[in-house]
Amino acid sequence: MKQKKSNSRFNFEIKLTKIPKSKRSQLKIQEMAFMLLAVVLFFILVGLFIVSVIYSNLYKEANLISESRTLSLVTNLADSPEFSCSTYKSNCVDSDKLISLVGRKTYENFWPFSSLKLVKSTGFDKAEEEMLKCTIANYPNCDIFVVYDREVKNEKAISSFVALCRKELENEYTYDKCEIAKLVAGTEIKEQGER
Amino acid sequence: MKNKKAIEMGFNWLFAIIVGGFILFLAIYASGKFIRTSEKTLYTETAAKLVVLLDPMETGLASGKSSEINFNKETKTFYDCNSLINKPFGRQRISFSEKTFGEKYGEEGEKISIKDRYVFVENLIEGRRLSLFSKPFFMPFKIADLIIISSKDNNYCFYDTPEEIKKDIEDLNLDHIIFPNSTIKCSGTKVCFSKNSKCDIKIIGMCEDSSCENDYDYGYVQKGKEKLYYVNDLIYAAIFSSSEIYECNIKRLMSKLNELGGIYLNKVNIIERKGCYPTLQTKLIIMMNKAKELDSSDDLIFLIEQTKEIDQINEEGKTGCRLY
Amino acid sequence: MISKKTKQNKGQHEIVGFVLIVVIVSIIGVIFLSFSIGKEDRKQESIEVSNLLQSAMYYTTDCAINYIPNYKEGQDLIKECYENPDEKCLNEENVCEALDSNLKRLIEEGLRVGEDSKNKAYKLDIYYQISETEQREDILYSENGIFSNCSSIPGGSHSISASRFGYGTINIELEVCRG
Repeated sequence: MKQKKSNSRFNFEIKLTKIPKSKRSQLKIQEMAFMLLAVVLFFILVGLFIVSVIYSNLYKEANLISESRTLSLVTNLADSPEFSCSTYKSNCVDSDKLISLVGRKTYENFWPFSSLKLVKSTGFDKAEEEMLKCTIANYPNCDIFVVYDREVKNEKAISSFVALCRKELENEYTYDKCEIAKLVAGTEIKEQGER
Repeated sequence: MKNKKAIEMGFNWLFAIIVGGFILFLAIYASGKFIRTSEKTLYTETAAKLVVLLDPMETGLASGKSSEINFNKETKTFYDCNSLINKPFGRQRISFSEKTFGEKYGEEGEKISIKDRYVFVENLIEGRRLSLFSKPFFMPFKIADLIIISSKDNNYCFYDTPEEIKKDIEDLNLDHIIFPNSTIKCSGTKVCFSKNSKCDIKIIGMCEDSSCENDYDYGYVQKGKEKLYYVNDLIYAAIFSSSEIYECNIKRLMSKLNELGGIYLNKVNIIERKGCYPTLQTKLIIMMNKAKELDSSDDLIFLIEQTKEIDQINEEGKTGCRLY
Repeated sequence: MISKKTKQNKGQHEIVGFVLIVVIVSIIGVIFLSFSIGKEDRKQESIEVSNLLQSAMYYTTDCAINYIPNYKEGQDLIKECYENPDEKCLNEENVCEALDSNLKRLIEEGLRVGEDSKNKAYKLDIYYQISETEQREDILYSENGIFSNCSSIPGGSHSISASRFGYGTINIELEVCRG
C-alpha cells in the first residue's frame, strides 16, 4: 500500500515536467508552419513592391502602344487612295475627293470603322449638332464631312490630326490650300454576348 | 476469415469503382472538349492578330515595305477569296491552326474576314516563318497596296532576273528569294525570266514598244498550264499567289478602280470651279468601263493603253491642277 | 529551473524576432514605394501632338514672298525663317513673326489652349541641329499660358530635313500643360 502511493506520486510529477513525444512533434510542426507563413508573407511583400515599380512603367508603355496602334490605323487611312493628296504629302487628306466620298453607300462596309468623319478647324469649337455638314452645295464653307455613320449603340471615337488640302483659285493661279483638320473614326464596342 | 484465398469485394467497393470510373471518364471527356474549344478560340484569335499585322504593310508614299512573322510552332494558314460577296469590294478570309501533341495539326480556327486589303498568297501556307511584303499598285492612280505573303521556309530561285526586278527585291530584304549563279546555289521553287521549260514558274514579258522600261513591264506568269497576266508590280502577286486568289483579287482591284474612278470624276467637277480644266474624263470613263467588264487577268493588257494616256494627260495638265 | 525556462522560451524569442524584422522591412519598403510613386515623371510622349506638328508642316500660311498666291507652307516658312530671318512677306510682316503668328493660331485652334480648357499652356521650340551631340541653333521659341501645376505634360516632336543647308535636321518640339 505504501509503495503504491509513492509510485502514483512519481508518475504525476513526471507528467508535469515532461512533454509527451506525440505533443512535441505537433509543436515542431506548428513552429514550421508559422515560420513558413512568415517567410511567404515577407517574399509576397517584396514581390509586390518590385511588381508595382515595374508595373507602373509597363502600364504607361501599354497605354502608349495601344494609343499608337489605334492612331496608326487612322493615320494609314489618311494615306489610303480615297483620301490621300495629289501632291506627295503624308498624313494629308484631299478634300476635293472627300466631298465625293460623302454619302457614298458603297464604302460603308469597306473600312472596319463604324463611322468615319472629318472635322475642319472651323468645327473644333462646336458640338457635333452645331456643325454644318458638308455637301456639294455648301463645300468648302462647312464644318464636318460625314463619310458614313452606321449609328451603332456603343462607339469609341479615335481621332488624328491631318492636313486637309483643296484646290483654291486666287489671282488666276490655282494652288493647294491646306488647313488642319481631325479625322475621326468610330469603333463599335460590343458588349458580352453580342455578335 | 483469416484463411480465405479470395479478395472480398463488398458492394461499396464495386459502387466506388464503377461510379469513380464514370466520373473520371466524364472529366477526361470534358477536359478534352474544353481543350479543343480553347484551341479553336486561340486559333481564331491568332488569325485576328495576323490580320492586325497587315496594318503596317500600308505603303503610303513608300515604294514597298517588308516584314516577317515568326511562330513558335509549325503552323498552317488558310486563305480564300470571293469577289462576289460584299460587293463591290469582295472579301478575303484567313484562318489558322498549329501543330499540337503527336505531330498533328489542331482543328482550324474560325475564318476572319479581310475586306479592305488585297492579299496575294497560296491557298495554304505551312511553316514557322512567314514573309510579308507590299507594293503599291497604280493604274494610273494608286488603287491599293498589294500584300504578298509567302513561306520563308521555302526558297524561291530567280534565274535571269532583270536588273530592275532584282534591285526591287534586294531593297525589300527578302532573303528567301535567291539569285543563283556559278557561286550561289539554290534549291527551291525555280522562277525563270525566260521560256526555259525546266522552271516551276516562267515569266514571259510582252512589253516591246519604246515606252517600256523593260520587256517585263507587262506579260504573264506561267505556272504549269495556267497563265496569270500582270501589269507592273502585279508580277510579284502572280509569282507568289495561287491562281484562284490572284484572279479573284484582280476582279476586286478592278472594282476598286471603278469606285476610285468615280471619285476622281467628281473631283474634276469640283476643281473646274477653281480654274482647272482636266481633259482626261473620257479616257477615264473608257478605262472604268473596261475594268468593270474584266473577266480575268487576260483583259488587264487592254487597260494599259488607257492607263498611259490618262497619265500623260495628267502630267501635262496646268500647274497646280493635277488630278492625282 | 531558470535555465530550463529560458531554453523552453528560446524558440518563441526567435519567432518574435523574425516577425519584427519582417514588419520593419515592410514598413521601410512601403515608405520607399510612396516616395518613388510621388516622383513619377508627368512628361509623356503624345502621338496626337506629334500628328498636329506633322500636319502643321503642310499648313498654308498667310506669308507669300514672291507673288500671291505662292503662300509658304509651314515647313517652308520655318526654313525661310532659319535661312533668311530678315526676309519679309509681301504683307510687310517679317517671316519669323509670320511663322510665330501662324503656328500660334494653329496650335490654339487645334489644341484649344486656354485657362478654361484642359490644355492650359504650351511651349513650342524650333531649332536646327546637325546631330544630338552638336550644339543647336535656335530658330523660334514660343509659349503661351502659365506652364505650372500641370497634372500631365503631353509632348510631341517632328523633324524636317534641312537638306538645303547640308546635313542636320530642323526639330520642332511642342509640350502642352494639362490641368
